[in-house]
Amino acid sequence: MPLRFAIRSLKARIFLALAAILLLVACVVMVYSLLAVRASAIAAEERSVQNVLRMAELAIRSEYHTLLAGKVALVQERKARFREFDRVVLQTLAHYQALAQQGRLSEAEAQALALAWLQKIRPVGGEYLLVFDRDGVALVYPEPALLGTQLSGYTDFKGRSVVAAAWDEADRYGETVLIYDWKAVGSDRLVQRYGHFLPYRPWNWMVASVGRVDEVQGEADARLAQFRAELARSLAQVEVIGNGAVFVFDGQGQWVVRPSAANGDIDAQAQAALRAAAGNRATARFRGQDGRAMQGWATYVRALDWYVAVSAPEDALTAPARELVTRQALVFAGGLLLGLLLAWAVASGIARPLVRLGQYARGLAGADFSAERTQTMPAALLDERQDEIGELARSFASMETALYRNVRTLLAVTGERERIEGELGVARDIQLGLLPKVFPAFPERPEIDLHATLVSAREIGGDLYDFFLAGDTLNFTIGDVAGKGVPAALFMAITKTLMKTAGESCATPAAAVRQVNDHLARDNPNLMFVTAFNGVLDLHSGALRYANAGHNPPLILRADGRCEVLRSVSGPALGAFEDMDYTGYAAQLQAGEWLLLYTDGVTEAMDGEGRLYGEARLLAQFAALAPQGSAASLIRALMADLALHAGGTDQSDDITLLAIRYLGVDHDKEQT
Amino acid sequence: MAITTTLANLPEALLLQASGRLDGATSPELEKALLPLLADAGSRVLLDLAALDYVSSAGLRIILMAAKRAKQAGGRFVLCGLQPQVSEVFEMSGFTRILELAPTVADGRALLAG
Repeated sequence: MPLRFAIRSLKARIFLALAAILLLVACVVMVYSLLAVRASAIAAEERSVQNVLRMAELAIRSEYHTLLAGKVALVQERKARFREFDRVVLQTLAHYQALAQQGRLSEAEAQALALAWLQKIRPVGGEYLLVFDRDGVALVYPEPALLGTQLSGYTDFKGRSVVAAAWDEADRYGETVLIYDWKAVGSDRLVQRYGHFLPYRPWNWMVASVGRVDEVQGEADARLAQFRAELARSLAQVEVIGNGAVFVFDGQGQWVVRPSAANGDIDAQAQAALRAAAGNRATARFRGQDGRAMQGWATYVRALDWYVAVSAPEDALTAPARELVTRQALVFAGGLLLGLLLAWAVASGIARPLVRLGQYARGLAGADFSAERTQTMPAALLDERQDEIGELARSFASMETALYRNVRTLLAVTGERERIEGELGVARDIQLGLLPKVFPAFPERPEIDLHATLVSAREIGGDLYDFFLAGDTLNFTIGDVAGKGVPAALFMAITKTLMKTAGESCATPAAAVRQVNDHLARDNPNLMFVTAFNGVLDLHSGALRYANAGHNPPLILRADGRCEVLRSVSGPALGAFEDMDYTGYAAQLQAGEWLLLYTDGVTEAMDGEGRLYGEARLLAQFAALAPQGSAASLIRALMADLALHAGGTDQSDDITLLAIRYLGVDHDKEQT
Repeated sequence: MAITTTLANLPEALLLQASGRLDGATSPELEKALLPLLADAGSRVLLDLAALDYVSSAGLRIILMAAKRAKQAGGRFVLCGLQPQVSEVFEMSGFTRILELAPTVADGRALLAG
């Protein structure tokens, strides 16, 4: 409930709206930058990895070329040394021969001395010195057992006899180099050797410096091993993102440079993926031993059949992006916090004057507008603010002023109306006081049962009725002043008084109404007029004399149930014109017969759709209701039927009913 | 619930035709239209009520005032074309005795011309 209340407040809404906007912006920027940074970070990592690969590849290629060149140079150098050595040997042999020619030694002695010397020397960088004659008999050889034996069983890599080939090529080119398999010294195992063959023609000796091929190869291999070690050392120093490894393997899957121990999960499957990726320089994806997603790149060095590769876990590649976004999120969170504080301040700033206005409005609700003003609008709201809130405050202020003014006016008007209504109430009491209202009216006269009612449409009205006994006669009047309200009420009061006076002084109803007419018409500028019926009923005989000055025709209900309408008109309504003549009429009532007088408020009473009650319905109701009871009950029943007809529609005219039942003298005597 | 009046100039009289209902609410309207016509001495006015459906006692008062003005000014005021229910009200109030009535406009004009 407190939460719902908080969200309903304007302040909270503004705050939430601002917070939502800030959050939305932050989210959009963060998601976008996460994607962008991630992509660029991965691209950068990939670029750096490719660079590492490229550098490694270049280093390997260049070293390989160096190795190749070194091997060639080594062989050439050995050959050059052997040639040099053999020439020195030849010069020495020539020296021994010269001694023989000079005669100091015999030919055989010179040769024996030369062989003894040759037995003691070894070629620089070579294995041993070999000398044989044209027949292929070994003259100098490290193994004494073989001296003096045929060496023709050895063949070179082309399948020729080494001895024959040496003599053949030396005869043609002067010297030659041969590569061949020869058994090792002291054993029968064949070892690949190379030799420089130079013939000493005076004695037909072939001098050869012999070296082992594997010595040269061994040196090249040693250099390659050294290069591998250096490569492994330098690759270990290359930093690849996320504990990534740089490593080298050959076409058979053998390690050239192993990945570091932390990357022991490069298995055959990973190698296969890397080999495939190396072909098109694509990114290889594979699973590490612990199921980590790995990425790798590789390049192939054809000359060595080596694959140089780099691999790293995928999450490590995206780590920089994540780190950046995390930092960014922190910055955003800080910014958001500041923004929210600001938003709170702004929301409070907007809501505060509204809260003050609300307090003011509540004060307004409880204010007594008829008294002095108890509160004033704060100037900070009223004058200083030029925005909508200021406008609202000014509206409030002017509304309050208008309320005070209007309430005072209303109080004054209401006071006036109350005064008038009070006076009208008094007037109504006076007016109703003019009419006889005590029923039964004449309990001492059993000849008649009489009842009357008058219901004004407003506080005071223009209808009237009256009745009084004069000796054994009942004088009764009903009248209706044209118009309503105070003028009609005054005219009614005058008429009623005049009628009473006239009824008491005049001999006949016709004379009475004529007298009243003259009185009323004498000074009547507004031409007010009153319709009136005046009758005099003889209580002994039931004889009725009457005059009708323009009033609704009364009804008679005969003893046999017939209804008669007294349509005779004596003259015009009273008050309009002076000196009018009024005709008197007469009728006869038998015991039990009824006379009903009414005003047009009865017949012209309207229902909700404007239909009139009408004379016909009145006649029917009168005929049906009268026999059932007294005059009082008849009038109650007729009023009830009128109310039924009106059905809640406002009464538009005064309603008056006067019912008289003549009971007759005989009936009286029977009772007493 | 309203009343409308139209005025016409005839050689022998002013003809005012009223239609609708003449009651307490509408009688001031007829009063404004009718009474000024009778202000001049010797004026002759024919009020045609052929289209009038209802008349109340307040309406009767206006008719009476017109008749009285005409009498005071030495003019003439004639009513014509009363519908039965309107005529009944006039009959009942007894004013037929003091007003000049004619069945139709033509009869009214003849009456005024004579």
